[in-house]
Formats: sequence, structure tokens, C-alpha cells
Amino acid sequence: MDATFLAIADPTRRAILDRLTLGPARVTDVAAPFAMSLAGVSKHVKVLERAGLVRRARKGREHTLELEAAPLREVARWTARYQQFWTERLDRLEAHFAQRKKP
Amino acid sequence: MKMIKTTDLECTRQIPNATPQEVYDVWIDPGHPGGLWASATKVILTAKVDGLFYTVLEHEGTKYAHYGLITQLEPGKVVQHTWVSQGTRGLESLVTTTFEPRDGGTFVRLRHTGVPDDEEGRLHVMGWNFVLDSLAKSLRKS
Repeated sequence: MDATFLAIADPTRRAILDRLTLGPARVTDVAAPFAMSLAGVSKHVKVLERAGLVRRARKGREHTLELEAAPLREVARWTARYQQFWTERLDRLEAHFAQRKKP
Repeated sequence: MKMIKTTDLECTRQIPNATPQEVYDVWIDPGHPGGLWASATKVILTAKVDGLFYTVLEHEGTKYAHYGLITQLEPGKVVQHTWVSQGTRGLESLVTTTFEPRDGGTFVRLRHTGVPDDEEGRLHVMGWNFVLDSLAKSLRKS
């Protein structure tokens, strides 16, 4: 999970991920909006690949990038888990008293 | 040390036909199926202020150790403790459960504060939400 956090901490990398939510794209197309060299964008892409957020596919001479959604889901998971955990605990507390006979 | 963004969770329940003391007693009882510790596979608890607890919660086949310090106990009113685990990234979050008399029963409010918002370092909140929203939209389409 830490690699994911570090990967998305950078605004350029978040913008790359945002572009890829539209669908797979060539590296050159992903790099186009940025005021930096292709080599500079490629470094960011490598960070995203190492974090498992992006995968590279090769079709002939073309390299395309695709989004991997699983690590981003993992990041949001613990907050949701605790919300569910406490909800279930209170559900059982409520159920205990609902089953209890009225005095 | 970098500041970590945190979020707060809250759940409430209205328990009819039970006094705050009755609900409090169930909540802190380590052996009660309606209590805080019911889903744990193991509980070691010293139920007093400055007492410690260790508990193991299982989720999807993986066991997660949780530790904490009891910070406040007011019978029939408040149970408060810290909550530390992998899910809190090892940081102390705080769980405060209050019990108030209301409408002939008990109103229970549980607040879990200081839960790391799953960010390390400072993320631009709008950018992060935008990416997640975009991701959600693209996943719904696929």
C-alpha cells in the first residue's frame, strides 16, 4: 500500500492516472499535455508501473499504458472496513436488546 | 514527520427498552455476543482507565491484531479507547462510544476519530477525489 500512496502523491502521476481512466493510451499521447520531456514523463510512468497502478502493453512497435484499478481500491479499503465493522457491532448490540423480553 | 490526513467515522443507534447502564454493560463485556469484542477471535482486556487491550479481528481469512489503551470509562455514559492496527497505519485512532437516555431507551453514538485517510504525505484532496470518481465511472462502464 505504501508504494501506492507514494505513487499518487505526485500531481503529474495523478494526472496520468486520470488520463488513463478514459482508456488505454499510447505513452506519447499520455505525455503530450505535460511541459516536460518524454523521458521525464516516462520516469513517472515507471513509478506508477512499480506501484502496480499502470501496466504496459505492447502492440507491434507501439507501447500503450492501461490503468490497474486494484491498488486504488485497496487504499480506500480500511476506512470502509472500519465503518462496516462498527455498523455490524452496533447491529448486534441492537439485536440483543430487540430479542430480550420486555419487562 | 509528515502530517497524515485523517477522517472520522460515526455510527448511531436508538436502543428502545434498555437503560444506558444496561447497554453500557453489554458493550464492554468481552464475552457478550452483543458487545464491542464479539467478533474477535481473541481478546485480552484490562477494563479500567489506563488498562490495555489486545484483540484479533479476522477479515477475509486474514487476522489483524488490534491494540489500545482505555482512556475513559464512565459507567452508563462513556467508553473511550484508542485503536491501533495495520488499518490505522500503527497510529492511535480514538473510539468514543456514548450512551444517553432518550425516548425511554438509549441513544448510542460511536465515533471513530483520527482514522488515517489512507494518504501518506499531503495529497491534493480534490485531485484524489477526482481520480477516484473518474475511476468509479470508468469501472461502472466496463
